[in-house]
This record gives sequence, structure tokens and C-alpha cells, in this order.
Amino acid sequence: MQQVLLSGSPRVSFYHLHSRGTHRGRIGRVMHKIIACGRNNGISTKPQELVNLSGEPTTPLGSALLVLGCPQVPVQTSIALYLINRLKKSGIVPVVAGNKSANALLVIADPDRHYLGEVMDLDRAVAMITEKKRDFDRCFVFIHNDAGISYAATMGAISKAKIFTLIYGEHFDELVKQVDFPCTIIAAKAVHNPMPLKKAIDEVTPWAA
Amino acid sequence: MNYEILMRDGSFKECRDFIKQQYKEYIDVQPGFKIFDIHLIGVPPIAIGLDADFIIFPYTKPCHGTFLLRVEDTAEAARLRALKK
Repeated sequence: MQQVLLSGSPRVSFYHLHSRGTHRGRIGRVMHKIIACGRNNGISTKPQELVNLSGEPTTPLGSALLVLGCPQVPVQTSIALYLINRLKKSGIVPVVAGNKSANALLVIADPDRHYLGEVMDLDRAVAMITEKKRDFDRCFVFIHNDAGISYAATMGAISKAKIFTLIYGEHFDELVKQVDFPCTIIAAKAVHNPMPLKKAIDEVTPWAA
Repeated sequence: MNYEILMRDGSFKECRDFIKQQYKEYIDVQPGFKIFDIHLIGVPPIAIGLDADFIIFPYTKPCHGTFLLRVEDTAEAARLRALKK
């Protein structure tokens, strides 16, 4: 076994293991990369501080709830992180609400919570808003199927937040026609490539006052 | 809770139309209305069907669309009927 320690990074090490049995040489080698993540598996639990573009702390100017849909369409996680970043840069505290899979995709992609702040279960968020225990200034609902429309309409009915519907996916135009409640529609045909939806969001600038 | 699935992977509109066509007795509620300790999700108005002690209501999940469920509960049916008056 050969251990290689990278200079300046003692917590990262590579182990080259020769396989047993008849398979030897380059093909038979298995390389394991072991990264020590530290306590709590590297997940930071410290409260998030908002900073402006110059990196200085800033006072929260509002709050926003991001209602995630089914993570079946890849652009959702990417756009959610982008939106969280833009909201925080504008002094708005983002809170994410989704099902277990949608939340896990974000939490695992951002273990040190550079972008993510509070993350909660979607059913719990609906219950808290309905029971008037909590509300937000803005609400972004990710929609790529009929269930997304239902969640957006629900948020419009139970919350005082300004509703933004982010509609994407292969059949985004059919979903846009189903929206018959007050909201700002941001829509683009985006499935794998988030750029069309990112451009649509940038045109609306929902993080502006 | 024992339930029967009358419709799966449907849309909220299909569920609402089904309830209003198949059940003479129904009530319209707003999203967030609490029934069996869950808050209903949907486009208002959300129709809840009543058939003797059975309650028929839509249940939405992000990945699976809307299910139409049929649950027997005497007390809950009585509570919903009282809301009509």
C-alpha cells in the first residue's frame, strides 16, 4: 500500500491498493480517495450571515421562501442555488422548502452552507403558513408539472407573500396556461440546461425591491 | 388511516370534476384547509365529496401529482357537514 500525502493538505490522502488474486498491474489497481470531513461530516450548522457584494455584513431586507417541486428535472437544483445567491446578495433571507429528495440534492451539494440557509420540509412549511405561525415577503414556486401549479395556487391562497412562479420543463407553455391566480410568471423551456431560465429570472430581477 | 385511491397521477382539475360529477354532496374549501391532520393542496376552490361516512378528497405530492382518496370517518364527515350550514 502506498500512501501519498498532498503537501499543504494533510486531511486529504490517496491510497493505492493492489488488488488481490490474479489481477495485477495497472488494470487491477483500485484507487481510494479518502477525505476527512471533520466533525459532523463537514456540515456547518452556524447561522448564515448576509453579506453584500463587497463582502460586508448587511441587515436582512426581507425573506423569501423557495418552494421546490419534484427534482426530476435537473435545472431545479441549479436555479435554486443561483436564486439563493442572488437573494442573499440583495439582503433577502432565503428559506428552502421541499420534499426529502429535493432538499437533499441542495444540502449535499452545499455541505458547508455557503449558499443554503434554512431548509425545511414542504408539508411543514405549508402547515406553518396556514396556521399563521410564519410568513414570507416573497415566495418562489418551482413548477414543471401539475402538482407545482397546485402548490403555487396554495401559496397564493395561504400566504401574503408576493408569488413568483418559475415554470420550466419540456411542456412549460401548457403549464403557463393553467396559471389563473395572481403571480409573476417566469417561464422558459429549460430541462437540462438552466441558462434559459436563468436569463428569464435575470430579466425580472425578483430580488429587486 | 385506511384509504382507497380512486384516482392516481391525476390533475387537480380532473379530481375536482370527478367529485362534482360523481357525488351529490360536496363542499368547496380553500387551500390549506385541514382534514385528517393534513393541509389540502390545490387550486381554489378544492372540492371535498361526502358519501355517507366516506370523505373523498384530493391529496397532492410534488413527485406523484394528485391522488383522489376515499376515507371512512364518521366524526370527520359530520364535522365537514356542519361546515356547510
